[in-house]
Amino acid sequence: MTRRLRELMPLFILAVAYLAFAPVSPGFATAANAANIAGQVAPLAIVTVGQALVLMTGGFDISVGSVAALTTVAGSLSAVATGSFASAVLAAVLAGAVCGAANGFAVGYLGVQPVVATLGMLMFARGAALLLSGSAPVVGLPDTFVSLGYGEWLGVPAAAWVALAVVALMEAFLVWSPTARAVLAVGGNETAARLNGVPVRWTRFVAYLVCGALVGLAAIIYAARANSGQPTLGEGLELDSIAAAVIGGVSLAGGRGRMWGAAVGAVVVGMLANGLNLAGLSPFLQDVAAGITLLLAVWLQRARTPFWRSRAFSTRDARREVRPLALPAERLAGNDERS
Amino acid sequence: MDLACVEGSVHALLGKNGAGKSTLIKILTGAEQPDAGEIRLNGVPVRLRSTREARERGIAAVYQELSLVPELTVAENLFLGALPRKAAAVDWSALVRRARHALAWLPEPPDPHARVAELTVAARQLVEITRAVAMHSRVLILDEPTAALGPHEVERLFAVIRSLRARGVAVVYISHRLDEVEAIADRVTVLRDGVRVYAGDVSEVSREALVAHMVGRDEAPEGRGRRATASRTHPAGQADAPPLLLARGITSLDASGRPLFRDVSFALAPGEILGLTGPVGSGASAVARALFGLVPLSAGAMELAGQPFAPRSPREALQRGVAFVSDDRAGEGVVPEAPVAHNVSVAVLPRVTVRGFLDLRAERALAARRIEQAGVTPADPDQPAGTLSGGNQQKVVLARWMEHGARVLVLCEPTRGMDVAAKEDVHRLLRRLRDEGAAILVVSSEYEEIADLADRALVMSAGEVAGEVRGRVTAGDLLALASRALPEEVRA
Repeated sequence: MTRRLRELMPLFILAVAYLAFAPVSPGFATAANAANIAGQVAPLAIVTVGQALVLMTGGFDISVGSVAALTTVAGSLSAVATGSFASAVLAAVLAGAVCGAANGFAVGYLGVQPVVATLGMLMFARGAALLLSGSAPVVGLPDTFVSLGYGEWLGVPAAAWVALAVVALMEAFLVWSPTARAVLAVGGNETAARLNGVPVRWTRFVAYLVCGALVGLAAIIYAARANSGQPTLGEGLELDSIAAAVIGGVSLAGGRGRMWGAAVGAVVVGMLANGLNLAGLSPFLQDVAAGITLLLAVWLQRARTPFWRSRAFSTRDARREVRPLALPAERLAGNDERS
Repeated sequence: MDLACVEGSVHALLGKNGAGKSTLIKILTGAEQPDAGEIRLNGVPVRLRSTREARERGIAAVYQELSLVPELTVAENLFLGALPRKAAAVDWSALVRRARHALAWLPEPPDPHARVAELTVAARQLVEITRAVAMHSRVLILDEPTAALGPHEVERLFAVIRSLRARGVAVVYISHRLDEVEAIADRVTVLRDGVRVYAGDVSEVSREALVAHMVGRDEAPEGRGRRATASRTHPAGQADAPPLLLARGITSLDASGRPLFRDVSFALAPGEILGLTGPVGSGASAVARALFGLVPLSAGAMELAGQPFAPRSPREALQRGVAFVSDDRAGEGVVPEAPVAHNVSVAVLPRVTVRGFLDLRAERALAARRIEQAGVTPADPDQPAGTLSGGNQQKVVLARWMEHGARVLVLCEPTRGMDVAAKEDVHRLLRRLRDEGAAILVVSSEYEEIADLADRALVMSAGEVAGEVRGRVTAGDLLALASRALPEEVRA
């Protein structure tokens, strides 16, 4: 499969999901429902492109849900205190960037494994969100939130416009920024990147920071749609965003993916929930369906993964026969050296 | 391939890197299967389907790469898989007693309770040898057992080998050091390109004859011819040009304090290819990595264009104009998922960045030009680098450094695993870079490659420079130097 075809795969999955739901879910294939899905999916799409950037470095960020909670509380508190929407956005994005920077520092500079570093942040941010909010929703947001959450422009929800702008910006960043190129190099082959003078640590740091800031931005939309800052927001967001990115063609091994693809993946995830809901099926079935879709997407990705990427067929092993140096001890050890 | 080992004798196995010694050992220890032929043990044909089967039949091997478990103690490692038991539990006191007994041959036996990770490389090697001996094997294969040992320990090892021989054990001894072979071996077999080219008693063959068998007589003239054409286009320019890179007595220690290399000095001039070679473990590749800031120096100093040069990271080395080509192309050379164009531009991104944005057209054009110069086929900048053959991947890497304009190019095993045509392409490219004024250091364990490519060559042995070959470099000279323990200079 060619690279171009492979990149179109998320759209294909989206089309299949749409066509599957259209006949069985009443009211699914309507303009109103499309707008509804767009509004629902908007914050997830923003988180997903942030997650995608981290995935492209070969890491992942499981703290996005908690950070979304912390930043939605921070933004809401700021809005209630100042009455200003702008200060809310600033507070949320800044708080998200700080959380992301902490993740990035731990992973990039301290060499902590991404799971461990962001697990720490997951617990920290959730606790901080509950502490800050007194474990109750922050209410009394200015009216601007309502228009962001439920306003429309040209028949498309305002939140979806924001998400569209963010995805377009991130796609441009991915294509034209030297930093994003460094992200792909680090995720694609960290050692090669280092040997080429790519600032590996800094690159990782930036990726997590950007992810955190985007989560902060998404948190404002979550606050707008709930018309409150919910400290319990974002349970499962890390899994949804990773699943969406993978469905959208981002490689979990790092080094490959498109931002628009990740966003389409988020739409697929949102559409599954919406379609099954409209079809009157159990909400638990939604998770089952999301799981199956994810596995299918990963399977497609694996099938698309050229043989040289898979560890079992790595060229390094294949060439060992002709390498004059170094008998690798683990191979010589064979199947029984330790028994 | 025939090899007959007699019990109660020491049989030396000689051959250059890649001559087939390693494969032969793997087959003898059951790690790999022969395509044809048979192995007989005491006259009985045996099939060795796994290393365990080989071990049960009394064949044990000590490899260059150690196969000890670092987190376990010396005693546990010695008897791993055969721990003494009392009822169902491990009999720890018996284990330690037996370990002490097994280690008694050593002048300074390590503590059986010590964890292997705490030991020096030499001590680990001795533990490994002890383990093979303690297994009461009938056939003991030692692959470069002295690479990490000091003279005192070598003497002890020889004493043990002699006592094993007296007990009727057949020992296969592999070494690059011909003086050791003369000291310990009874019979010798020479391999070249996977074929036995000589077999006989050590006492009946001269050192020179052994070297000749290892190199092969037909190879030297071929290398000479190629070198002659190369020198015509490039009259030995290193004499007049001041050195660009200077290393003075550089030394580097590994984690356990043993030198990776010691007191290495050389000068590298623009427009010259300096070869650095030596047997496995000689430290040549560590020297190359030190030039790129990948291995820290513990003594000595380097100069680049008259300025002190002490890179702490690849980034720093690159900023000073020193580029490095790893021997592990797939693992450290290219980003396989990324298009060829990105792989070329990755080291020069600022050059194609305008006001913070990449100029994709300029990037693609630059990459297209360089990969055409480097002869990458297909010359498609959009193709993922991982889909290219090894030779073409290497050309992509070289295209990158051509664009980067590195003054000093350090390459490790630049053609490992390539076919002859790709090899020749890469060599031609390197000569061109040399003629354009680059200072090139090539580290290779293939003597022919150095002979074919280098204007001058240093041979390393056991972490030290054993000698230098100037003028016409031939594989024979290199091998002769590598096989001697004492430093010496050869002039051709």
